[in-house]
Amino acid sequence: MPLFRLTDVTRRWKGVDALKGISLDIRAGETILLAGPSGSGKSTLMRILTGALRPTSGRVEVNGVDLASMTPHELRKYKRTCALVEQGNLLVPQLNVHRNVLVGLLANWPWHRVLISALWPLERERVGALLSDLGLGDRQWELTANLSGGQQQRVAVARALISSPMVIVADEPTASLDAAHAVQVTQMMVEAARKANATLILCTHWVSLAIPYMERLIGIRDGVVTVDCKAGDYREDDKAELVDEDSRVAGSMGRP
Amino acid sequence: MIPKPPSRRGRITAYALVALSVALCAYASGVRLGPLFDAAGTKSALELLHGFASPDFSNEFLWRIATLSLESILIGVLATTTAAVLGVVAAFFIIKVPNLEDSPERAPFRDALGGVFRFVVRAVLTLFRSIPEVVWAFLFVRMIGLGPGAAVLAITVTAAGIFGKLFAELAESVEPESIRALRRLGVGRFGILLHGVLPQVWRQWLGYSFFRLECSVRSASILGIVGAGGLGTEIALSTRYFEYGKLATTLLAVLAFVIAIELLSKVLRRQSFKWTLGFALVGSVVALIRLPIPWSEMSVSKLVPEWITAGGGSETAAFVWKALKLAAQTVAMAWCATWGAAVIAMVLSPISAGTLSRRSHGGDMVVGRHGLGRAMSWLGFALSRLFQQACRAMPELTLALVFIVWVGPGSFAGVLAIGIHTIGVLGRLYSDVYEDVDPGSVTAIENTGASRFAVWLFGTLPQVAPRLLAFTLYRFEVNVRATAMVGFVGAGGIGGEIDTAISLFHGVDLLLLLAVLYALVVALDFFGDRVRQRIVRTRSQSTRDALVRGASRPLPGAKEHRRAERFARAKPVVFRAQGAPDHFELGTIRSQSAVGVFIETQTPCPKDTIIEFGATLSTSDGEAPRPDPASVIFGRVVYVREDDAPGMGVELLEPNAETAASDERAGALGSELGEAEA
Repeated sequence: MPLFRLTDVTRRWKGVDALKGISLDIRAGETILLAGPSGSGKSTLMRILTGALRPTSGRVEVNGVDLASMTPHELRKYKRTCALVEQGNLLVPQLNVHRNVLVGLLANWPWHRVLISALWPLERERVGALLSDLGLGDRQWELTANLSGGQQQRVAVARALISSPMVIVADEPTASLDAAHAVQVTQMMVEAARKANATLILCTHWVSLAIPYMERLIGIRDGVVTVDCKAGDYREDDKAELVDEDSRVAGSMGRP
Repeated sequence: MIPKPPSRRGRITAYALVALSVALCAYASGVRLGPLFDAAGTKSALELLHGFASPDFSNEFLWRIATLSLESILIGVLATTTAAVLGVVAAFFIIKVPNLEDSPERAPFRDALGGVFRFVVRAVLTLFRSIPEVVWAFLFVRMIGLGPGAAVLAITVTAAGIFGKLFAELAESVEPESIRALRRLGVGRFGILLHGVLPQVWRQWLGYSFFRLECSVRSASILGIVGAGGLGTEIALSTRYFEYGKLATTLLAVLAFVIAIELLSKVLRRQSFKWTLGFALVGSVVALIRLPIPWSEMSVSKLVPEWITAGGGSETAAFVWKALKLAAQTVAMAWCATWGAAVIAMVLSPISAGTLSRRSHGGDMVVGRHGLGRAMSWLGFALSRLFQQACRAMPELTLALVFIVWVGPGSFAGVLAIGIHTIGVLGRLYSDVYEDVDPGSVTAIENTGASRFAVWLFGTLPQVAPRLLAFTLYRFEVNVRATAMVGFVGAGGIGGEIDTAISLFHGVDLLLLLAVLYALVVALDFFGDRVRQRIVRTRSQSTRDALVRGASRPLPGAKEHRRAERFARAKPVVFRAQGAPDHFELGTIRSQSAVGVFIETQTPCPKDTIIEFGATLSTSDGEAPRPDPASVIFGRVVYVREDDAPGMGVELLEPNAETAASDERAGALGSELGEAEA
């Protein structure tokens, strides 16, 4: 049985169809690169997969169970096994880095442990080790607001990885990183996913950089799946299908 | 090697000290459970309840209440309008134009004279607001006789003191850049105030005036207990003669018209300034015609009666000691009442803040509440709002009268009265702060499947904690003044002795007590400002900005603010000089206010450039960055910063036809950005 089975999933947003009938099977442990031009429905799809958003119609089955039929309690339980790194990292700027990473663990803790962790720094070693892997070892006690955009993005990745989730869904986690850090973060996420046999779904506009590490490539355009192949089958010519048309005209101006 | 966490000992000691001091103050103020629930307490509580269950709705009494209610409202409107005018005038004298280098042509003598003059005006304003309204009212009753005239004068004097100080403070925290520009052009003080400061603050001034109007109407409803007209007379009489049915009707009337005034001011804030001006003028004229104010009595000789200067009173040394002890008691009462109320408001306000209970920030599946759970959370929301509304509508003095019936006279009744009223006030302030939370990071935590408690503790509270604390301390300062009032009805603190001094014509005693009170208020102002600044300074710059803005943002719904707010969530932006070739630069919005944003960027545009900017559209491989057309806004660069965090301050301009059109398209595009924002 596949981990995810999506059957004709649609999502309307303010009268516009963000997703127009997506049918997909995703096996457990797959590492998937999700690509598509802006506005194609990537983020919507990722949010639906993690239970943060409800589809307008269609079925989303997780291990054979329909997400729509879950009780709030079951849904919350399911969310605990997922980690969603959203666009624009969404950390709490007033907390230090350590506590922002701890947020990834809160769902598994009883309330008194949550309360203690707000007063006293728990799990110092575990958080510290993960942060050093991401090159932020010396920033653990710093205020998150004082970090640069790229550093904050890595903190968001650490928050997602700390709970060893079964499903990692990351929406543009490398958007404000330079090439070296982007590769490093991508590698780490793939590694973490492999180690725990977790499913990784990564969305990026930086296709050529991430593709060597992934197994499968899914392309979305205007709310429908247009490409679904092994990552190895990807050629530079396919790029036109995965990115905006006008990007070919725009050339090499601006950021990579 | 993992770095050691910084020590938390200091903060934990601070928590412990606050808790200990509150407990001590509560003990010293006679806060006990006994009087509430022992035989006598239960009996009087039952009598009160019985009265409240059968309000007096007889025709003649209702008519009397309606007349008195109208009188209270008119007193409030007239006094607030007069005070606002006086406050603006005073503020124009005392504003220190912010962050200004000395004026180009220096005039030491004139500057020094100006400084002395400002100091004197400030001192007079502090005197005005440090003496409680009810003391002023009683004094004016003694001077010009019974009736609403005394209430109008009393509220005017206190409100003018508060307006002057607050208007000046708001003006002193404006962005200094436009003022610098004017200064460089050689514009004088008056010109700067008129063209540089006033346009930035008048909305805040107006917003605060509305808030004050609500307070004034509330005060006007109770000042009658010293004979100054309005509903207070009826409240005092009905408690004195144990007519709790009549008391219930009167309190219902207070509740009704205080809420009515709040709704009215909410409506007026949304309308243009003309409506407000019209309301103030019409209200004042009607008040002048209808209220029996003895104008002829208001001569200088009457206003400074001879008994104040003539003296007379108790033995001075012992009395000084007594006054100091009463002042300490007043502070202790206010301290424990404020913190007690703060704890209760902390519990209630997340329930009554819409963003935290009724709906979720995030997608529709985040809450996952159905049927009963949804109904329960709605009920909790409605009940806690209603409770806070009722607490807030009742003036402290009214509550004190009720609690004296219940637990007997003394400081415990005062603490209860101050505390209950403060629950309402703080609850509302806290809820407003909670509504302001950045929803993005909170949703992200909800999406991990964490419990509501964890989401609140790690997502919401850190964002609002400094502001909650600052509001609480500010309220403590206000409560000290309020506690000085409740003594007038016998609920402890320094007020009782002031009442006696005025009643017995003990001029020296009165002056001494007022001097102690004045010193207390000045000291609290001084330390309060410093402590609050420190609380805020230990946090990040962005939080400090939020606090400064939050504290001075009583005016919701400003169009500019909504536009700026749209950007706070879409942090990365692209911009270009208007008319420049199609080449956008990257930047990040770091802070925002009602009139502008600060864009952090390596490549700021020169000052006074008109730029267009918008949220970055997620771009594909190798593509030049461009803005989401639905979000493009125009702005003018008002200042450029070139230190380690370079960037530019941008004043938002009115949207032109083009952006208005793209605003309409915003929904239709259905972009990922739109979805993230929702």
